[in-house]
Amino acid sequence: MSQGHFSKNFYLFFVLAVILLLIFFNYLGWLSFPRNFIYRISTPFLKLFQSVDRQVAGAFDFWAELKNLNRENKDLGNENQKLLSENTKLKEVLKENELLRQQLSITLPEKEQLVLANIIGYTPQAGQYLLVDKGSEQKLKKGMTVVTDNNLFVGRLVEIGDRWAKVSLVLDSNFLVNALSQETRARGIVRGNHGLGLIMEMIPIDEEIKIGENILTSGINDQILSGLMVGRVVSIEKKESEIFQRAILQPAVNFNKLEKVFIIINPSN
Amino acid sequence: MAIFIFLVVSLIGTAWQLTTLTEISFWSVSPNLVLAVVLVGAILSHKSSRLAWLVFLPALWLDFLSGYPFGIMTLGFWGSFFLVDFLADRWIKKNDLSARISLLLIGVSFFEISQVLLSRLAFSFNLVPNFNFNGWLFPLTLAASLLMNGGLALVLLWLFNKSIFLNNYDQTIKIR
Repeated sequence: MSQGHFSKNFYLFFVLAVILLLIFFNYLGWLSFPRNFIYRISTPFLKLFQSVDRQVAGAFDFWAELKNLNRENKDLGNENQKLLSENTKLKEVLKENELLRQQLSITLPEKEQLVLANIIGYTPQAGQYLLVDKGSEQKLKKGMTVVTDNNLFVGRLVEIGDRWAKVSLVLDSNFLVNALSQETRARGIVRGNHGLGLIMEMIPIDEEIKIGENILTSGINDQILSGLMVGRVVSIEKKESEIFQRAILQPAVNFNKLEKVFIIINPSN
Repeated sequence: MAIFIFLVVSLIGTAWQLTTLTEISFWSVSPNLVLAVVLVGAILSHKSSRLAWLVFLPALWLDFLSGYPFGIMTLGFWGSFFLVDFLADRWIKKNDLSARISLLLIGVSFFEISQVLLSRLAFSFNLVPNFNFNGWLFPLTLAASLLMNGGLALVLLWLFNKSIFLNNYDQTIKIR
């Protein structure tokens, strides 16, 4: 074996030993300091690239969407009318609810505290995780729910540094969340379809579920708050021979255009 | 100085990978700049043995900054590097483009398969909450990755071959 080969192989196995040692240190939890340090020095670059991306994507989207503006405007007008009527009904229900609460002396549940965080990066594979610029210094903890400004469900915190946190996205195929349909109250489990959308599975075959229905988090067992919108049903796959049906969902959040998120600090936390 | 420059460039490259490049996705696969650098490093490592550890710097940054359990990506990068380097020693005796393309494709395939296997391993050690592998989708993502990352690595290989930095790398170290 030549000197060059020996030297290269030595370097390679030295690198492997270092990697294995780092994995072991990480397992023991000794890597939080270097990790925080790397996050700190990377954050300015991450923020810079993120803001450039937004500007470029914004200009590109403007030209791309220009031809659809007429149709979108019409659709939005129709949806606006529908929402206006729904809003009026809901306001009435809210008043009625308040009156009933007063009569029954039931207090309102404690309000959650929200922490606003900027997205500073994503994982190499789309739709799995994102990085935000808030961490344990803002009292964030593992498992906290992440939403958009309209209470649309984004994901859950899975790792916390002092000034950063990792959010596992609902789009990830390893992320499971208990959910239910808003109108028919059919229950199931929503998971990501390998970054291509969302699937609601384990819906009992005898449960009715409609196309166009909103799917909300059910808040059962998974520490995620209930009532957050996950997506909308676009198609249903049902086979008589199976005991469960499944629904394909359009995610409620446009993850490509997400810039800021809110982390819910649950009062019970 | 050269190491410091590489350190900063790799940090910027990793940040770019985690922002801009992730947004360019096809069949949920995004171009992986770090993988491309590792594969190119493996092919060119005969020019400088120090490349064997330098290319792992961006891999480590990426592993630190990405959401996967630490080690999955770096081990995948190391395995791809080792395999491509081993095969390159036997195949690339001349400046053969088809051999280089084959090596890059083997490296990308190995990396993608290693990620699935290592994630499965991490799941069995409870390091990841769930392991969801779609056998039907995997060939599609592999094809997309081969196309994207293989292409990216090929472009990088061409650029590296032309670069003054690489050609003078050992000299730069000696001068320092």
